[in-house]
Amino acid sequence: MASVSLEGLEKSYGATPVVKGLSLHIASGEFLALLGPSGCGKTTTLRVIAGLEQAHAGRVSIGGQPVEGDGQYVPPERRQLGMVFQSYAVWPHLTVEENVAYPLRLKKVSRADIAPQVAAALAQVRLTGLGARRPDQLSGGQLQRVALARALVGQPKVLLLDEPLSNLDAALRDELRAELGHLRSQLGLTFIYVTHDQSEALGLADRIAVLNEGLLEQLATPHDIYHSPASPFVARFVGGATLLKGRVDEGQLHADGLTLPLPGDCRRVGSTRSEHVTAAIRSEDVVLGEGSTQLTVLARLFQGSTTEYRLRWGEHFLRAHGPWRDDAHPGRPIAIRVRRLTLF
Amino acid sequence: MKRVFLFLALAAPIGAFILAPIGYWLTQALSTLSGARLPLPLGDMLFSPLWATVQTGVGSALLALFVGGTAAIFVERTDIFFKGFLRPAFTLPTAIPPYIWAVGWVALANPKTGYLNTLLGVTWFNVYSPGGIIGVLGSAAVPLVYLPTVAALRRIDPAWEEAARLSGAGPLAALLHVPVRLVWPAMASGAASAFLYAAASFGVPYLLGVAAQPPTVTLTMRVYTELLLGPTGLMTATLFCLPLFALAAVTTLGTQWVTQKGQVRWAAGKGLGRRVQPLGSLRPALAGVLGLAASVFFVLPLMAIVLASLQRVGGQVSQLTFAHWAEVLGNHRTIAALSQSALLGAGAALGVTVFGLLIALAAESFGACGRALKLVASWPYALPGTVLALALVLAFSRDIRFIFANRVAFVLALNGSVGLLLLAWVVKHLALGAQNASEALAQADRSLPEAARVCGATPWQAFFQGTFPQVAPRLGAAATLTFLICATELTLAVLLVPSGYDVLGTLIFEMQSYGDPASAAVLSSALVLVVAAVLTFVGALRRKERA
Repeated sequence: MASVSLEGLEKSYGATPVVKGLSLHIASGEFLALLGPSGCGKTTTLRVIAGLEQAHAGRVSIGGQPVEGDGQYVPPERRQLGMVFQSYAVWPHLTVEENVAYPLRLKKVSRADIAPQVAAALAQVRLTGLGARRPDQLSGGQLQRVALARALVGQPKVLLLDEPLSNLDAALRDELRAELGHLRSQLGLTFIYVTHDQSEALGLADRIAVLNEGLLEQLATPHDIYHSPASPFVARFVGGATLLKGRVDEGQLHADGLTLPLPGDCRRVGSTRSEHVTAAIRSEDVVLGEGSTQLTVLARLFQGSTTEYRLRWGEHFLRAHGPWRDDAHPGRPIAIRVRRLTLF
Repeated sequence: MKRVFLFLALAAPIGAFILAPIGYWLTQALSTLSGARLPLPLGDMLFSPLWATVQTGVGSALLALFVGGTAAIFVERTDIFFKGFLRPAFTLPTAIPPYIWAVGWVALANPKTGYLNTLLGVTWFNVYSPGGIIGVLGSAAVPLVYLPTVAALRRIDPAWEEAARLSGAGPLAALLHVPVRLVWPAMASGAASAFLYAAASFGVPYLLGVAAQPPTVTLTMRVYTELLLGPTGLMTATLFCLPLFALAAVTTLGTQWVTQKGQVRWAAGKGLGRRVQPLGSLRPALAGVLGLAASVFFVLPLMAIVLASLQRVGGQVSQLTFAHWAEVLGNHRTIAALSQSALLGAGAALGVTVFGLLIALAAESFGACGRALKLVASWPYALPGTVLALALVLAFSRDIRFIFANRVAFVLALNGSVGLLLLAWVVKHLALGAQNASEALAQADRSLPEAARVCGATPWQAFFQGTFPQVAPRLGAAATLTFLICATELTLAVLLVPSGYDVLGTLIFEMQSYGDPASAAVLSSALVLVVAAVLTFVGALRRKERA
């Protein structure tokens, strides 16, 4: 278990900067999620921590020991990390046991000691009895577990996970997410978890670092990220909020031709004394059938436990979630009220 | 009924020009083996050339495996310098016939006048030796290992090596434990191809082996010298072809076994990135070693050929002149050889492409029978050229008369005609046409001919409207390759070309082996320039297509 520090990390591919001056401290035993859309630099950051990429500027230290920066570079094999790859990277020419035993063989652990350690790692990920199988005889979920066992068997200081659940179907993803949460509490390791899926990040992490175009947008607990987004980007990416640009005047929001009374629960971020603002409205904060503002129902999408409504005015749209309503027919007007919003 | 007729129309020439000649040669050889009086006991007669063939074949295969395999792994999987030079350098020999490399190495490492030996003042390396044959054939066979290894490496997820690094392996150990373990069947099959290539080669062993002390005489050389004796040597030549045939069969079957045994079903990953292993401090040193190897094997011999073509006096580089160029290129024999090679090469390319397409279509349309037809048609590609040439000589040594309604309807008179050489080139390279056409057909969008059918087109009209435009670029590439191979070919040509008739390969071979290396160097340089021009043109066309 070790802490990880990044200071002013910069990385470019050709002329395209991918990570721009990122600084982060991940405490020992913490579970940090790097969350952001494709191309935001989260995987590159993870690969720099792993030593698979070299940063162009900045410093990385693991457990207080500098591993990169100031002319120093410690190669990946000497960083004592475990990593689960997006494609699992389970070697197809080796059996499950041989895959898991590989890090121990390189550490010159004796044959007698390798077997019990491999068995324990396989038991930890519930793969007991499958050690003799080849990777092509395993399902996607089992491959993911082999990758996890291999990453854990060498007792790494930090476990890196690069979108480990993204190649699995929805049911398996839910199951393995729960297992990862359980493993994390069992092991007490430092986890750095890259994902673009907000529910994975919110459900598993102690803190989330939201990245956008190589910059850190917000670093906070899942609760704060969701309820107190620091920027319109975080509000939209994590909360799925609709963003409206407009101005605030006498307790009303005028945005894109729509006038909404400001609710009592109105959060202001930064210096919003200026009249010009960006309002973030989450779909669950839009109440249908109340209030004075009328919008047209564009679509009504039944989703089981809830229903999504797409509401329209002019060329603009607003998303709302709520119980099924018989009166919200597509094409008909409906009254709405916003009970909570954030102004940036 | 119509389908049966179409199938038979395709099967008949394959039977007549592939199965019948090979079958006839085999029966002749076996009957000679059992009945004829041999000048020496069979074992004594075969042992020495067989040993020389195996020795040079295995040596060449090992050299190609080491150089081609190492180069493929470092160029494809690491951040080594000079990739822009290394990639084309290691694939260059595919476009240049092996005897040209021999001409270059003779200029470099002739024990008396070779540039390297003259420069160093000692006989640093004598190219007239088994080692010389291995060096030239092995380096010419490098792409046979390099290209399949590269293709296999490109299917490997870079995350597999990265996982090894994070498990504690250094950059070289990660390469050794993951990609090398995964691509060894491809490397082994490439090495087997290199062995066959070297064992079946005639030009290089002859140009370098005859002057060796003691002479190195391989099986192909013995077949050639026996055939020079005329009809008396013909039967002995059939015997020397038997071990060549057996070597080819054993190697092909062995390759299939190794490939199947070593096959690993690669678990699916996400789209493969093009990430490479950083070599760190080893980067400049490894780039230097590979760059030097590529320069020595592939650049130096070509430079030596150009230099030799410009020399006034052999072995002296002080007075250079273009006089040889004017003399050789203006000579009527050269002009005749060039035009005959171009014409025959174009004919072979056309035959291979058209017949190859028909065979590929048959393999798609006639089920197991069609696939069997394609297998038989592809067989001569794996046969040593010498065996095929001898089989054709034996089968068509007399005119064949086709009689219909008590009249001679048609006489097939191939003996002593250039038609036999053309036939041999088509038969030998039919696999190129059939395989390329099959792959192109497999990738073609089938909805286009279906749309034509729905619009009212007949099957043939739909084929030419919908399918042919899709497969035409690939067929064009196969035709270009066949043309380049045939127009510069030597092994078949030297045995089948009628007396008094020249093609490029036989003319260069004659000049080099009968004391006119300067003229051989001029023609070799011209050939390399033409090949380079054709490849540049084809490359530009492909780039334009992609753009």
